[in-house]
Amino acid sequence: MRRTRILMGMPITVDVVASVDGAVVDSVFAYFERVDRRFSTYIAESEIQAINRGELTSAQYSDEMREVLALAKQTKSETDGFFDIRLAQGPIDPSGIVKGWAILNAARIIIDLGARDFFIDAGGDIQSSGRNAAGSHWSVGIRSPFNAHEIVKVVYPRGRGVATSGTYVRGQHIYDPHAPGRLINEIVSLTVIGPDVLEADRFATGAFAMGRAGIHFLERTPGLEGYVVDTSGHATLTSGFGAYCEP
Amino acid sequence: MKRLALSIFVITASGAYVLHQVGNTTADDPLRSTRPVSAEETVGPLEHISDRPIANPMPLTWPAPAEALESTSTTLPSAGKPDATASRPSPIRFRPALDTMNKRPIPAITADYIQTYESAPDAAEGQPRVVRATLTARASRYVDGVYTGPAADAYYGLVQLQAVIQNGRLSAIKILQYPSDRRTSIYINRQALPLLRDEAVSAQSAKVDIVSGATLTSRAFIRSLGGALQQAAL
Repeated sequence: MRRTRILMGMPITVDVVASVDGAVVDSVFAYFERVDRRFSTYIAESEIQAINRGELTSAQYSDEMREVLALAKQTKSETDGFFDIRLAQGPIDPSGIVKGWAILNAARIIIDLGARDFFIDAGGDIQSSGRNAAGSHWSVGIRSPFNAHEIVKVVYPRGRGVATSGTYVRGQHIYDPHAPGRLINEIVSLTVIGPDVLEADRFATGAFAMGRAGIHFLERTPGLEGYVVDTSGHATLTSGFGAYCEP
Repeated sequence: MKRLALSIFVITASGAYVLHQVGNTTADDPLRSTRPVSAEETVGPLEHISDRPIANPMPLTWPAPAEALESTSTTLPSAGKPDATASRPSPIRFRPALDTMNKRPIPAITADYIQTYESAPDAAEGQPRVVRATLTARASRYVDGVYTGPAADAYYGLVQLQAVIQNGRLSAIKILQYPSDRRTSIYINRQALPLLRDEAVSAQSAKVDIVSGATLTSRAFIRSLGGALQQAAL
């Protein structure tokens, strides 16, 4: 059963192969709704907005908020400060962590409900598990940064997480926290395959902010593989990326 | 005066040569140009690697020499920018250094890695440029391990490289020694020069289960959906 809904400002697709009733898929969407109510910067009553208005002390944060903020802090440190949830104007926006974190938790919900073959795709960040209905490994196409109707690469993540950061679609939505005025315009798309979607997502964002240096960061970080496309239409792959291109 | 100009040129050109050895992009690459060295000199494991030429015509790509030369010009007593063609290096000759000829793989635990720049980093944009190195090693008869090459004279000092073989392929080069004292414009840090594969992107026709791309905004998604529905309604 495959369903798509728009939640957290993006299309979220859940496909559970063996599921006949909608119960599993429904509980996943219910979870994403809960996450959105807590973490959305577009919802005035959300916990994150209460924090940004200074209404909550850190002692009053929820456990989920603490977990996400700790992950954000860890990611900032691991990416030499390139991943930063604090915006230039002052408020914090942990959505760069929340998406991958929520997808991973949703995948755990599905596994707890007994399903093994599924994927969750939230805005192009993907956690897959097991196999598709045809019994093959799930295949993931990397969208062309130059043409949204084309894919430029096919990968088979085999249970690992896939996340793509880019300047396209949303325009420049990632900036270099070390030089906020500098647009990242040399690379247009960076896909990361990581141990799970949370790892892939947070490092895709952090490495993208590094510009051209990002692919080297991925190369020397164990467990991460990357595929970067630059403005001239050239792709550079980390040395282990090719292994995921084999069906 | 003419003599002075000449010596300045020689200094500049040889400085450029040093960088060229690291920054070369063509068949003059040091790893490929070690064949003129005589047999008794070539006992280092790096020679073992070089003996099996890589079929790909682009073995290693470092920053373009002309740009790299510019980055050094500030540190040289230069009377002008060196001419890249004049400083074309002759093949580097590895000469055996007394205690640097490791014949067996050594564990790669600590080594100075180098990241080069295509141009001098400026204050606002201090990020290292990607060294887009390309290597399609088809010959995969290398034995996995870490191999240290001999220290080679590069005019201003010794250059020594270490090759890392993983799964039968050259996967990284580490710079063990580098004449850094006069190359202050070259930023040396503990980073590797991984050999990353490079390819042109092209549309794939394969049918896939899922598509990964940068996030769509709900607005864009809804607008697109609206457009599609509009078409569907006609």
